[in-house]
Amino acid sequence: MEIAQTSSLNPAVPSDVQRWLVEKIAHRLKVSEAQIDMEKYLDEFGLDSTEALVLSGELEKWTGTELESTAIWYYPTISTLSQYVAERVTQAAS
Amino acid sequence: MSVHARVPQAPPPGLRRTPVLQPLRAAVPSGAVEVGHVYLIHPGALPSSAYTSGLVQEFEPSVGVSVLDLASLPDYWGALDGHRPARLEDLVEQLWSELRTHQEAQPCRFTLVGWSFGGVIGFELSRRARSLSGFRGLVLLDSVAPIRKYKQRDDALDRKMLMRWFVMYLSARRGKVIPERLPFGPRADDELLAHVLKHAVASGALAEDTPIEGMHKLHQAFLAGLLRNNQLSGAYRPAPLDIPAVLIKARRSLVPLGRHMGWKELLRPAPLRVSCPGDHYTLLTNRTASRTVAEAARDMWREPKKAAPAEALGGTLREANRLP
Repeated sequence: MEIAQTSSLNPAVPSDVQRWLVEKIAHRLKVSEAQIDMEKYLDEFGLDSTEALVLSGELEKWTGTELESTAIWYYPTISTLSQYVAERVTQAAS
Repeated sequence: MSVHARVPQAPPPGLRRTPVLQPLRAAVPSGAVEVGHVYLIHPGALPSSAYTSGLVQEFEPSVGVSVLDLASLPDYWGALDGHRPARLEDLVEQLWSELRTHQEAQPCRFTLVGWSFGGVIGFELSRRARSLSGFRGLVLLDSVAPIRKYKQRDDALDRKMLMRWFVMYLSARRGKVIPERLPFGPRADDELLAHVLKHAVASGALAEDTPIEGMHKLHQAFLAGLLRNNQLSGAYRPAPLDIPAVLIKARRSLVPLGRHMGWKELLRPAPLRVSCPGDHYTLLTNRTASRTVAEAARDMWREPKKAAPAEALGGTLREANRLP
């Protein structure tokens, strides 16, 4: 799946945030999306803290919501991070 | 960017926690005697694995090496961005609990080693650790003493200086050399970051498609950690200590400071000083620095802990890399 298709995703929907993250991480690691386990800790993907922070910056731009540096530490899996980000986007909009 | 996300007040339940005290090598075999132990007080910024490829290799198998990782303390993380202020002494108490438990289980001679802000933590931890019979001394790695003269408010820190530190950090973090020279004259952070990104990509430190937003986040996180440590040090009012200590300075430290980086005011006797190649961040992986730390620890274990450094630490360190 092309990264360009993430423009159709809704950052207020957890499953869409998950999809965005899976695509980005698969692209960064040069693996297929099927290999990305959403319950795995981000550092277990071989994504070091530098790469995780770069990803966090891209996520902020996409969602329009600033994420604290601690967010990735407190929500270190795609599954939990997606839920958190979607909640924040929803709260910001309401 | 439209809205600031709420900072979680506490880690979510079930979050995997990295142990605060992490052995960096296999335990000494059962029946064998551990001749000494080195506790590395790590303040984050660089991964603690930096010690594994460097410092750990300089010790024989009968020496235990562990990391006391500040980054494993929720209070240390929570203090980022100033949302959950912490006290340095409270962080030290948590490390002290780990250290004391470890020593009670397997008492032996030990040395504390603290890099950067970890040295400040190590100093306060030494205040408690000296109550243990195994405590032999403190090694400071390019650490600035938390004395009034060297304390600065966050808003007094020079932005370009911070940007140069960021470049130095990123270079060491990624194992590449990114030129530290920045565009001349006053520049906005955005422009400086775009400049750094260009050179970071050119050096291979960052991927070609790294967006500027990613660079912003890296820089923001770096500053958040630095300012947190600045605030923790700023509020700390240390009393002097009488312990053996060695100060290892990087030849390219972050700022030019006095010969003892302020530690002469807090340590009695004054620490023995050694200069090592590299900068503040590459010091952790520099072979000369690693050997020097190992030699300092061995010297401390050989001599009575209450001896003055000139006698306690032997001739090896004084002959090598003598500072003016």
